[in-house]
Amino acid sequence: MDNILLIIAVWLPLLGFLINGLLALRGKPANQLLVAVAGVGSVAVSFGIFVWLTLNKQAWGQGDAQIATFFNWLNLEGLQLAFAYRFDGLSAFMAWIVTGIGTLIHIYSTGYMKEEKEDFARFFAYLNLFIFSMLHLVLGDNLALLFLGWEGVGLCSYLLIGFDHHKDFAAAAGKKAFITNRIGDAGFLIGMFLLFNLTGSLQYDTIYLRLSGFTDTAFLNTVAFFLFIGAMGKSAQIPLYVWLPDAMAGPTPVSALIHAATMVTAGIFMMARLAPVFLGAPETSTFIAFIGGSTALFAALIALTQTDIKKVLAYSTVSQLGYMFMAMGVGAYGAGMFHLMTHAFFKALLFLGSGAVILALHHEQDMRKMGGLFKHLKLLAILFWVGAIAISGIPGFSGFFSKDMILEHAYTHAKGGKILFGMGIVTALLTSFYMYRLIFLTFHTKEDAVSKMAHSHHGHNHHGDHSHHGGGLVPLGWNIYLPLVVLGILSVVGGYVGLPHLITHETPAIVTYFDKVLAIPPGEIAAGWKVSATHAEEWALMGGSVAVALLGLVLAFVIYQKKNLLPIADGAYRKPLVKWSFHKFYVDELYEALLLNPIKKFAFFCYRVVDARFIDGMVDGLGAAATAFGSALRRLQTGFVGDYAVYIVVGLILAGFIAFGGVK
Amino acid sequence: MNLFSINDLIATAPALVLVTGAILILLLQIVLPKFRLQAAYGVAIAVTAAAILLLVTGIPTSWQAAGATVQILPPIGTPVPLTEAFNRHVLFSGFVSEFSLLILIALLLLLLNSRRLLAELDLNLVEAYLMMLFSAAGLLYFIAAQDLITLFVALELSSLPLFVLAGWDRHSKSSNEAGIKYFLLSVLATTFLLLGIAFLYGASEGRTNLNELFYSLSRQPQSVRFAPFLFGILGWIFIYAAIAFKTALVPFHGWVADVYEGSITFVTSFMASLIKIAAVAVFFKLVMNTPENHRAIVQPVLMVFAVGSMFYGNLTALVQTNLKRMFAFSSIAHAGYMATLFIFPVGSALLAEIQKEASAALFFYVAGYAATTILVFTVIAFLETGDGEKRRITLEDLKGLGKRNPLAAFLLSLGALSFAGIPPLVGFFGKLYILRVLLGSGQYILALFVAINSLLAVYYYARIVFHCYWDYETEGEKLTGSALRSPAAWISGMALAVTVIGLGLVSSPVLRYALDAMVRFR
Repeated sequence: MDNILLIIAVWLPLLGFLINGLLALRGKPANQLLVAVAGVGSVAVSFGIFVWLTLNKQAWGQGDAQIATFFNWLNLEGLQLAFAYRFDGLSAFMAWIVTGIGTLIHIYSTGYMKEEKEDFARFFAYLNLFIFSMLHLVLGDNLALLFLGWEGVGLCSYLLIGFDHHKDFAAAAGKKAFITNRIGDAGFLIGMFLLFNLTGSLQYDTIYLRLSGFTDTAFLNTVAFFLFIGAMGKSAQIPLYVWLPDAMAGPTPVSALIHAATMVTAGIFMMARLAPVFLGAPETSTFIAFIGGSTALFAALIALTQTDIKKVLAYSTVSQLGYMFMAMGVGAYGAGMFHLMTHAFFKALLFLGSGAVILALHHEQDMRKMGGLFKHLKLLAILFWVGAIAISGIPGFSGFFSKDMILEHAYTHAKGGKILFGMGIVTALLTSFYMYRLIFLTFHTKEDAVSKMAHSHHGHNHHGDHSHHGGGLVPLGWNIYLPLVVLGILSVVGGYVGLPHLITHETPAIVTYFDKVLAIPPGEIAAGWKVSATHAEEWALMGGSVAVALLGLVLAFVIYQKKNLLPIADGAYRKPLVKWSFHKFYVDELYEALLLNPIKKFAFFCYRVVDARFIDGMVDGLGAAATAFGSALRRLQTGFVGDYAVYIVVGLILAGFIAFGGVK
Repeated sequence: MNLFSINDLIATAPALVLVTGAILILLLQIVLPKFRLQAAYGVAIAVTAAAILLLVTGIPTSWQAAGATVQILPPIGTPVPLTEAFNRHVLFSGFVSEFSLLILIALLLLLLNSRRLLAELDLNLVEAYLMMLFSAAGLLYFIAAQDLITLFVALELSSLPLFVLAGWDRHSKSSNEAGIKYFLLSVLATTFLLLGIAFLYGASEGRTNLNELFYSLSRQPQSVRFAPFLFGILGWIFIYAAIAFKTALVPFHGWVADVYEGSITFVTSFMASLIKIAAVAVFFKLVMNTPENHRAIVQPVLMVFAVGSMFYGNLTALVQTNLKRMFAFSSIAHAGYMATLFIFPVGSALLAEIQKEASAALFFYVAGYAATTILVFTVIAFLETGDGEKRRITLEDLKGLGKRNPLAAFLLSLGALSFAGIPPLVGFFGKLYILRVLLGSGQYILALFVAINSLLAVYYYARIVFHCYWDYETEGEKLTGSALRSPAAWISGMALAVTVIGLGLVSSPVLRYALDAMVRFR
């Protein structure tokens, strides 16, 4: 019964996809209520089933996984693959986030996409397909299903980034995301094959079984490295993070669901799922931690100067994902998953909130044209504050607990722990600053966005498609606010599952939980990975991180509220660091110069010279030679019977010579 | 020598049915002068169908005299015991039955088109059916002949009506020319056949039966000093040359292009399919009956025939613009592909197994080839007369055919793609099985030649498809009219199209069936 329910929960979103897809195919505006019921309903019911299954499940330890086999997919000698789903502590956790936040964002989308009459059904079809793929990613019982979901979410991401496919930048951003991810996917596949080569299976239980007692660190380091390349792509880490900021071309609910809360955390999930591999690869793990730390710092630096509200949040996401990888790299799997969850709450909140702002301002995303919105959108501003406080790490809100746990584990990491911690704490300062900068610029500066907007409308009325709204704000409906409120509450209370042991004097609940559900032999992490820290040090760490959060707040307040400085127009930045930050450290340009242009040049070389001249020349030459031969032979066809008879006789004589030449 | 019995007649019943039909047509012409055309058409189709039926079901045992072993063809699929008739001048084996069946089916499909095609040219005469039935009957005897004398007579029976058919359009110079050319060169080939028979007769101390020849000749020392051996070699070369003429292999190919082009297209398709089936079958049978000591010497000649035909046919077809000529040269190339199956490694322990595989591959290839050939020539024939007057079709004429005449363009392209060996069509699998036999018996050079030629051929076949579908520049008013303009022709055309696609899809069972049926054919 439970197994059937599990399968239904996974496949239900596909039903939503089919219904909405068929509605979208009709090519005329579909009934929005029908679409919403199918789209939201399928995900919500799926969420309900997961809740029910969770409540029904007795034990969560390792080996207590509920496995439901839908059907056998491949049955070859040496490779059995089934469409089987694994409901255990880890996948239940992820399924809750995916379908729970998924449901909220689906509800939000019914408000946000209301004006897109033509594309309403198509949008929900893609979203449902995404949920379906994501559930395969997290619930699949073997790496093949994980990869299937991995590719499926990639496809949906591509489709949704390029949702406004008639806009060039959206289509280009979609392509960029897809292609960048392919680089990661190639690495992931190699890692998967290596793992299969080692264990002879893709099924998790078998992999865990074969890995226990396997101590070839060099091999596991290699496997872990390639798997991490996959995570780099999907979860936007250096050097493959470049697609995620561009992915903001997609509608804002997509940014919240896919590019903040769920899909981009797939790399983290994968590491948790394959924890035994990464635990056996300490060098690669440290490498991962440093990549994570660098990404966190680097993306935060870029976020400092961005003027597009969604771009700030996008770099913030990259930065926060860096934190999570830092946690996974130092072996703090519980902390990493904890931050994954809190981040899902507050980042979804912030994205949806920014979406509400954008919607209210007639699709304006430039923060320099905002300001003073607090007066008009009080509830939204308060919710935004909640999200900002949560992410910046002010005590009492969720982000504080998870970030602090990560910083603490980073500090006590045996290899380069202090450096990691340094990266983390600086990132925390920057995070706090850019977040409050966003808040002040959007909601609190004296200039009023509404009057700015009216002015710009009078000046040059090029927003033709929205002019019927007049100069005022677009009203926001209940379906916009409801998800925001729920996420706001979660952003506050979500952290209390991980109260620090400094206060409670016991291991945080969430850490205990993940130690139990992940396939980690107890005590394994401690050995060789960690150095101990005194209580005084731990208090100092926590105090430091609270201090930098407050410092960021104060700085932002002074610069943007008190002095009322506006970010200057593009390209006018003088100071190198600010200018570099604004131009995203020219990474895109660097990639273009170092990778894209050489590859393009090589491709053109292949096309113009190798193919057009050499290969075509060869082929054409052969063809010409054959034709010339044919023309010559054609002359034998004279049409005279006598000639033909001569051929026969000559042929016969030749045949005689050939044959009798062989007689001894 | 035994006297002939009723069993001898029963054994050759399918051929006799055709002959009876031909005579009946002659009689009906006198009895029913008003309906003689309809009657001829009906009788021809009826007797062909009856012959197929006889071949498939065999003759019920109750008809047989007590203790006799006469059996034509037991129901399809069961192993066929050898049956001899007319003092071992005629021998039936699985091999013979398979190829006879192929000939009869091809004849039936051709006959279905015949009436409309001949009528459009105003050439629908009773004698056409007569000639076709006589010729087909001759081909059945030709395949079944176990004695060289019978072989010769059967060949004549099949050829003489063809000379008439080649010149069937008596108002056309080119048709008359085709008939005369075919006749003159055939005479030369027949001379060689008789000469070859005479040489073998001398070399084997007076034998003409293939079986006896085999055993007699196989005992000869392989020496230049032993005159009978040399005469034996000479005999085989002459006989091979004569059959190679019928098969259209280089250097005996001179007639092919001119006769194929000059004859009316319906007759061309008759020659390109039926004659080819019978010729390759007999050629294979003769190679089978060449003892190894002779074969080792004569085989290089066959190799020259095969490789020369492939290259000559394909290279010359490359530069053709006339569609019929192109297919004529392509048929030389296809004969070359099939001729590679006549070549076996000398001294192989697995010779019997290789020969069995080769015979099945040959059967499959020629079946696919015949179906595709009839399909293509039928479409061409209908296109030629589409706008009331007869014309010659060039590649240029095909431009935009896909738009103006979708069915014709589709069928023509289907045929061209199958000839080119594009999967999943039958032509692909035919080549695949040939290559498999060649590689399996270690003849890598030949396999390479087949592969190279397949590549060469794609060019001119693809040009047909290209002109039909991609080249819309000139939108002439030419080549209108439906591709299959009578219900019977439609049935035949669709059956052929289904065969070209379907035989490819179910190639494996068909080949297995052919393999099973090919037990003992020497």
